[in-house]
Amino acid sequence: MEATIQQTDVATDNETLVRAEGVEKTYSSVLPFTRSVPVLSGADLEIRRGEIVGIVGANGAGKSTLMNVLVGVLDHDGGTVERSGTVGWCPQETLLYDRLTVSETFRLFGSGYGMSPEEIKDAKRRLAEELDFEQYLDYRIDQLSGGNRQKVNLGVALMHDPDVLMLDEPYTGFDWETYLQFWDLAKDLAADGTAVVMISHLIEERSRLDRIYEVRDGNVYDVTEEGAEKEQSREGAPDA
Amino acid sequence: MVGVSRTTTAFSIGLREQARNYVLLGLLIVLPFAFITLAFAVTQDVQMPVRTLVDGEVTTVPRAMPDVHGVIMTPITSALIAGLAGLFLMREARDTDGRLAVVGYRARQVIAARFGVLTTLTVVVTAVSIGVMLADFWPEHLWWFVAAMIVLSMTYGLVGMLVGAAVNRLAGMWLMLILPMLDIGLFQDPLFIQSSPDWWMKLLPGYHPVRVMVDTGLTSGVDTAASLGWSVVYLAVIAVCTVFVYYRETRFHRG
Amino acid sequence: MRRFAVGVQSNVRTFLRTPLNAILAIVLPLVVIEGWGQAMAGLPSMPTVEAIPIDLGRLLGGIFGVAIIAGLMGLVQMIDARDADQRLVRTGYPPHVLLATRLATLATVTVVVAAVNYAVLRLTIEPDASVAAFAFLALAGLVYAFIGALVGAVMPRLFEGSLVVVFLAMMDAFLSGDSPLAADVPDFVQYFPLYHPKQLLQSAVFEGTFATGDLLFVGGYILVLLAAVTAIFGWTMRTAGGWSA
Repeated sequence: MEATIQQTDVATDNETLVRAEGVEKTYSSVLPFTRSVPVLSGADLEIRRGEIVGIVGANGAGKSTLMNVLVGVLDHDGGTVERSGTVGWCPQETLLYDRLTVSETFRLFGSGYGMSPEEIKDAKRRLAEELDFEQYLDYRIDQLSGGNRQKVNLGVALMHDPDVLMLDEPYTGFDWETYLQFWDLAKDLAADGTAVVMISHLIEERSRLDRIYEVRDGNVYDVTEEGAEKEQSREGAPDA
Repeated sequence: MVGVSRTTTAFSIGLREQARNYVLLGLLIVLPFAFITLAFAVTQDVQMPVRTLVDGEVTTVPRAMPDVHGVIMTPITSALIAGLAGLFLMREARDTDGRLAVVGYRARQVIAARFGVLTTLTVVVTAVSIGVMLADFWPEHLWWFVAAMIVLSMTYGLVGMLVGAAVNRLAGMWLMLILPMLDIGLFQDPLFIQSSPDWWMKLLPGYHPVRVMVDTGLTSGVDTAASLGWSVVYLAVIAVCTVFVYYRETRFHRG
Repeated sequence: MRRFAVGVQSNVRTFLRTPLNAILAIVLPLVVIEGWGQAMAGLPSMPTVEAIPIDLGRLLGGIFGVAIIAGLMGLVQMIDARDADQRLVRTGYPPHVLLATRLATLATVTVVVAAVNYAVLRLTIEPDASVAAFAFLALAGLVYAFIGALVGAVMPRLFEGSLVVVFLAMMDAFLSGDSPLAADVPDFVQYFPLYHPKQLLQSAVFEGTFATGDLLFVGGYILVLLAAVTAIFGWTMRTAGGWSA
């Protein structure tokens, strides 16, 4: 099945910002004696404006693969992906340049987004305050702790006020306060119309999510209702 | 305008990133100095027959062995460093540069910036190597020599990038050491190859540039201008291949 | 002991499961040895410069080939394993066992690489003392393998470390031994890593003998390298290194 991508840079008033239909992806190699690994075999999903969407699944199910395909950093072998509007991507690995300072990193990424120097400066200050890394702006990336690196990783994904925010386990290394700040930020973004999509392992977070997709056996299932029922039965269960 | 701005930003920040590698900067000065200086210091000062072009004819001329070593050891030094730099630049690019595509950089902007960084590094290494060489040996036609050396080093820098895309780090390091050593140090060395080089030696990256360096370094005339031209063509072909591979490796595939 | 054996086995398996590296470890010696031999045999004989017999050229190529393959392997081993090793030490794995595993793996693969180079040399050269020749080739590889490991322990950056190992090997190849191109070599050249291994190999191949002094020097060299690697490895495991460029 042919793989197609459609991208429009400006989000329309249309509710749906990302749509994937029948997405297939197999990791294979041209070398002999290497195994092909099929990961996705017909994934369908939709991301709508203002939603907070969770992508869950067992280890190795294909969550990151799905997100990378949706973002566009990974080619897919079949199906269609339609994106409308700008995307901000926060990968699981902090793909940043070790010897650049935090400020320089914002300048590099902001330039890519087409932001003016003033816009970059404003975004950097705002996010540094919201995520509490103001005192590290002149530090090199390789001088930051894991948690602070992740804050910068998240910051450069957010700085251009994207229509869709794709986050792959975004709070790795966050302390409790920053974790709570992150959720406040996510809610504010969603209230402003940004779709926030995140890969999440924590069951406790399900109540914060508007929709939950589970990646299982190469496909994607909307398990929002199941999650809500489980949540209710847990809350209603008598104490031991 | 936005495109130029992105390229300039990526280039200037990329350069800054490399410039902060103080250990690398130190090595870029110390290693050429140690190697080239030592080579001159211990080479016997005797006349040796050297195969080169004089007035368009291939002939053998007697030249002092230290001078011949200067012509060969200097480009080996810069080609080796440039090659390894290209190898590691490509490996870094595969991981992190792909993210710049999501951010909005176009492939040509990132490629231009990366090539700019590699070129700058290559020019620095070439300048240091030649600077050290000039303390002991002054080529007959300095600027022709410099031009050939820059082309050779850039070619090896890009070959390093291609190798970095194709193989793992260990294999890449083995290849980017052995290739310049064999190519420049042995198969293009006019001391060792006294007769006309075999056809396959002429396909190696060092053939044309070293021919120019031997001619413009050791003889009073310039008989290899065409070879410099061919070197540039070779470089252009390698550059096109590298652009193509870079594009694929960093997955600038956004629709 | 069992942990040690398992560690060595799994590391060797890792190397073999990178087929390209295994193939290059065989193909590169063929190219280097024959390339060196043919090229050096082209050097004309002059009053003060002896021609290099093709077999001597091949020998020089063989020893350089073993050294550079082993040296870069040592570098990569130490750098790749650094973070995982620190983690293992914190779980209770004794650092000296970890290091012994790494170095034993390195030594094992180096001996295999030396065997390949020796086999290629044997296609064209009949050494007068074949067992000794192989042993000295392996020793040359071990010296550089441990140098690579030392550089990797001190400077855990692959690009910079590879520059150091590569340039050391190049200077060594040019300066040490009886290169007719180099005369008036300073005395300190005898301390270059390949100087004595080259003497040993040459005399074993062409004369069937070797100087005990050279062998003792190489043995001492390896011991000093091992001590240095052990000390630095232990320090990085305790302090998490903290080195960054």
